[in-house]
Amino acid sequence: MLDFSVEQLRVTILDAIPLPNLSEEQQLCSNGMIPDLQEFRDRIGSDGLFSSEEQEYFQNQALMIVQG
Amino acid sequence: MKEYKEKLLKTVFAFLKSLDHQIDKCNEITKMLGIQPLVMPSKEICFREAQWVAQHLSKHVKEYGVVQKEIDFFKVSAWLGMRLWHESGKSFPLLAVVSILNLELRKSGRILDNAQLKKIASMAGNDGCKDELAIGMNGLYMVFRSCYRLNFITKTNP
Repeated sequence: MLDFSVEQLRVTILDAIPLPNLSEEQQLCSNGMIPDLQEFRDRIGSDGLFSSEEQEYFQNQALMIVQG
Repeated sequence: MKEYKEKLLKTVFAFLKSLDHQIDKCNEITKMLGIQPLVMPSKEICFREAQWVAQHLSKHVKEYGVVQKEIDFFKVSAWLGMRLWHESGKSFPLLAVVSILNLELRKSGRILDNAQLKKIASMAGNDGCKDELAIGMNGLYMVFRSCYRLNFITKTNP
């Protein structure tokens, strides 16, 4: 199991990189923002778990992936 | 509108967690079968390649004049998945990445069947060794992006 937090990822990757096509206002807003955890929960679950539907999908695909 | 950088961060994070989870599920089976387990690339490799993707996104946007409003999950995930696959010495099957892209495709209503996923993974897997037979990381994301778009067009104009 790969263990890392979204904050580690942020520090390592995104804070050092200028991103394209952002307006000055957007650039200013980006400084120091804290991730919107609600949006994040919508994506992968509040405790880093997936929805039951997604779990089922991963489970179903596993054999196909292993068999190749 | 949520900030662009944050969306990129969350997209990368969601893909890495998905790949990690998919590999865990696969390893429940490899363990039962007593065969060699799949290996998730190390955190160092994941972070380094995620950084490459973020930088590459800048070049891509400049080249194609893309106006970034949303982060394309297919683009970021296909690029990152292919990079991880290469950089980890193919420690997991590319099919795992393709399968995650297919899960995202489900949000548009329809997904590809497993036979098609295997074909896509096979063609993407020729990248770097049989380039004339490969679709590359851009081809990989465009397959799913196009399907996604088509699904929505079909919904709107059946």
